[in-house]
Amino acid sequence: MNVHTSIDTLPIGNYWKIIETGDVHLLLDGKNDGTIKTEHLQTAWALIEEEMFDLLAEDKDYIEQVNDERREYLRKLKALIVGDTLSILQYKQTSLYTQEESGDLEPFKYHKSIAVLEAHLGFPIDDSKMSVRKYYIHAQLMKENGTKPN
Amino acid sequence: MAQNRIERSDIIAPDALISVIKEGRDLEQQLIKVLEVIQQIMKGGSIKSGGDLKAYTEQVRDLNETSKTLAKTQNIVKESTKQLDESIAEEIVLNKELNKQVDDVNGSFTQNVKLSVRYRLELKKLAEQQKDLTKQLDRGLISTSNYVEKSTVLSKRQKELTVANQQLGITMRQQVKQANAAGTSFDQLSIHLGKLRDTYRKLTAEERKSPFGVSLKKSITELDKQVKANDESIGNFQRSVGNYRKGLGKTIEKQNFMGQSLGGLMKNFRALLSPIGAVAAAVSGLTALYLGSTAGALDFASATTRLKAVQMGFANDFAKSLGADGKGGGPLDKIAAFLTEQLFGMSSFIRGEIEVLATNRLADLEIEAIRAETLAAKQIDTLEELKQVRDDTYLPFSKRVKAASDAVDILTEREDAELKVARERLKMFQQLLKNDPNNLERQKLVAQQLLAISRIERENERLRTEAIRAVGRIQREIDADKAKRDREAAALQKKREEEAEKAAEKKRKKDELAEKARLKEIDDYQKLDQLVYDSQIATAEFEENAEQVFELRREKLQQQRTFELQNEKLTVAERLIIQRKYINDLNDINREEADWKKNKRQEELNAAIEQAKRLTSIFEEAMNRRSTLRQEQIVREIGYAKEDLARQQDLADRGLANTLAFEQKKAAELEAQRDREAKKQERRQKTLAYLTAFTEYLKENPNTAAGKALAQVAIAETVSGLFYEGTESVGDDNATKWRNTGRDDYLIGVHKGERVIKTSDNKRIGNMSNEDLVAMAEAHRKGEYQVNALNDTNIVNELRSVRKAVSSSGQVIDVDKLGQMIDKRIEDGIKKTIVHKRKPRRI
Repeated sequence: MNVHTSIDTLPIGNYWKIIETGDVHLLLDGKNDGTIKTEHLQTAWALIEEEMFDLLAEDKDYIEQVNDERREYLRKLKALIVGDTLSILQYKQTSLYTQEESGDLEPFKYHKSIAVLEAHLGFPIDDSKMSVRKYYIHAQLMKENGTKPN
Repeated sequence: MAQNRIERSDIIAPDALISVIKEGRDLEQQLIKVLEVIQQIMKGGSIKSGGDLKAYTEQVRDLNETSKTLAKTQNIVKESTKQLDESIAEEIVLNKELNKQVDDVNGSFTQNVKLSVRYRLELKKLAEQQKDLTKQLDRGLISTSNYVEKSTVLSKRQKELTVANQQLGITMRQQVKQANAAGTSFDQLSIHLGKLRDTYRKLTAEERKSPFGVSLKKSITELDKQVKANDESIGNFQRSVGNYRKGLGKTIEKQNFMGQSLGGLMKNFRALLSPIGAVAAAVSGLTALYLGSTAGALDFASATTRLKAVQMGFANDFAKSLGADGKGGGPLDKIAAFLTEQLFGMSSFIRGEIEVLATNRLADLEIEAIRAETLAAKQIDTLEELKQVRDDTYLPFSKRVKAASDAVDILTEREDAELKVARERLKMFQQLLKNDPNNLERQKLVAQQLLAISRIERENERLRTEAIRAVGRIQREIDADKAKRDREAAALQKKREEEAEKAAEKKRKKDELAEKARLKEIDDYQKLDQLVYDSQIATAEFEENAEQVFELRREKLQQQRTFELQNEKLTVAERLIIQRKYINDLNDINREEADWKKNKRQEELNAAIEQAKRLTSIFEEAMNRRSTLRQEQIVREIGYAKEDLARQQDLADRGLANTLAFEQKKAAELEAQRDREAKKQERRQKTLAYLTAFTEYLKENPNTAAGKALAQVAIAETVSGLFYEGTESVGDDNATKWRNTGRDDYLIGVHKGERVIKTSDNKRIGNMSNEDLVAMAEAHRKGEYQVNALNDTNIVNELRSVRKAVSSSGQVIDVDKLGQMIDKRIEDGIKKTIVHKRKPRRI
């Protein structure tokens, strides 16, 4: 029995379920015989998260987007702390990313992403086998090359 | 029991809401501080690595949670504030109604005091009447029966008043108790606690063991607990250091309760407070709400006491906690009783109690006196500082006056404080002395206190007088300074006005000079203009320089306009007038120039015509003379030729060699030459006749500007036409002819005073003969013939138009063989032929 501690081995299907349910036992490759404690799994998940952050940090577009988002949060903070009309107006005028909080932005749909990726690649994906890294890289390539397969 | 009463929403709600609002605001401030921390962290720098991303994700999560909590907190505070406003409004209405009802039944405290005073005065009066009545009876002024009758009436009235006054006293005592019971705000309780402690500290060992000492200690202990509980309930742990941990726990609870409903929150909040603390907090909250908005502390005390039964219950509990258990002995009860005695003259208190009360009060006053002295000492320091400021002449008067004024105020305040304590002490000493009038020590104390009061008054009066004098002195300084400044300001103002007047006068003179200069310049311009104009008109040079003169006048006019418009004082209307005048004057000059040109052209035309006439006459005469000479020569040559021919005919007849054929040919040529000469003269006369007629037409049409040129060209054409067939012979000597070609191909010698013109030049002058050229040159030298304006394009164009006009005028001019001009005109459809007869010419 193994524990996934890297996005190179963790299937994307398990990753998504953990994100949705918070159940870190899905990191187990097999049935828990009682030797693996939840604390161990949480440590493994922390490692996976760090790898994921490193992977995301390689995408310059994403980083740029996050930096934009960060600046927007800073404007929101200024509006909350200072509370003057100018700060509130500045935040509301430039609000884009934090609209997600109010539900204006469409939430991420995992299964739809798999379907789109399958159409792009031209073969079915078994999300219980495809690793998180591979999934992400395929998605990244698809984004860079457009929606049509090469 | 108390718990149930406390839970009544109309009592608890306002205080609980106040607490919620207060704690909600505290939490809001804490959350904002958290957000500030998050803000500082997020400002740290841009995201570059996976670690940055992870940290950023956590920051966003914290931010979202904190901001949501903040929003909830703000909503709760807002909602609680709204509910509190509604509760306050209801309580105020209810309180006013209750207060009014109670006052209607018992009368207000003020009314009762007034009524009590009236009762006492009446009782005093009745006692005096009774005394007088007894005196009268003793002196035998009235009978016994009369005395009994009147005394009975007086006694009855005295009893009624006494009973009424006693009942009134009970009511007022109750009101005073209510007022005391209402004095349960946190601050008031703390003050009471301090007083009790001070009193207890002054007790001797024996006194502390006495029932009063024991009771006082118990009261202090209970009151201390309550004050601590009160402070703890509002998060003030300065009195209860050991409960800091508990306070921290509450802070955590605050964080947690934000997720609960408001009802749950209140329930939770109640659980945090002790029953007494809750009620005290409720009273405190209400006190804060009502003070300053209702009829004052007494009104508030009454209203609060009667507001709800639970508060009465609490007041009783609290009174018990102080030892006021209804049996007497508690400090508040005793003070109240003492005040009642002072106010109403009730004699229900034993002397010993008064003694204790007065002693206790004296102990309090001693402490207060020490405080007053301490304050007075500090005030002296302050006064010294103020004095330094007051006497510092380098400081502004406003500061010095304020310091002096403040010193007076402080002295008054100081005196009031000292006197208040001293006089109250005097009262207490007098009370003690009243209990024991023969006590020398007490008599001494009263006398000393009177002396102390007198000393305080004298000392303060001295200081105050000095301070007031200082204020007056500074005021006089201010007045003197102000007067000095006023004088200086007036002098300065006067100086400025004089300077301004001088400057204005200087400017006025300068303006006048400038105006004079301007007017003079205008005058000079006008004079110059007039002079120029006059000189132009008067002098002979005008005709030659007319165009320059007109241009000069326009230029002067322009300069004058520019100069006048430079005057900044001109209004728009005046500027327009100047512009209009300029345009009118310019038009006048232009008109004069146009008239001058027109006249000039007419004069030139007339001169040209006259000149043409003269030239025509000259040419006619010259040509005629030349033709005559030529013809005479030809006749002579023909005579010679005839003689030669006759001689050669004779030789031929004699059979000798001869040149008969040659001579015959020569004679024939001469005849032909004579014919040609005759034809030439005919053509010349014809041309001259045309020219004469043309000049006549020019006279009829003086507007023809090119008349002169036309005449000249006509002359030129005439001249060129005359010699079209070749130049005349340069001489008559055939020997000079290098070969005989029948043309002017003579080889001749030229004298140094003579000249031969080149062929090209000869062409330029129209192959004019030497004689004609000389004649023209001579005429030109004599001023009879001027050639000008030939190069003027306008004139040439006008010449063409004149020619065209002439050709299309329906007029035909012809010259017959006799040289007479025949003018054929068609006027009104009738053809007219006019023959201008000339004197016959020699052919």
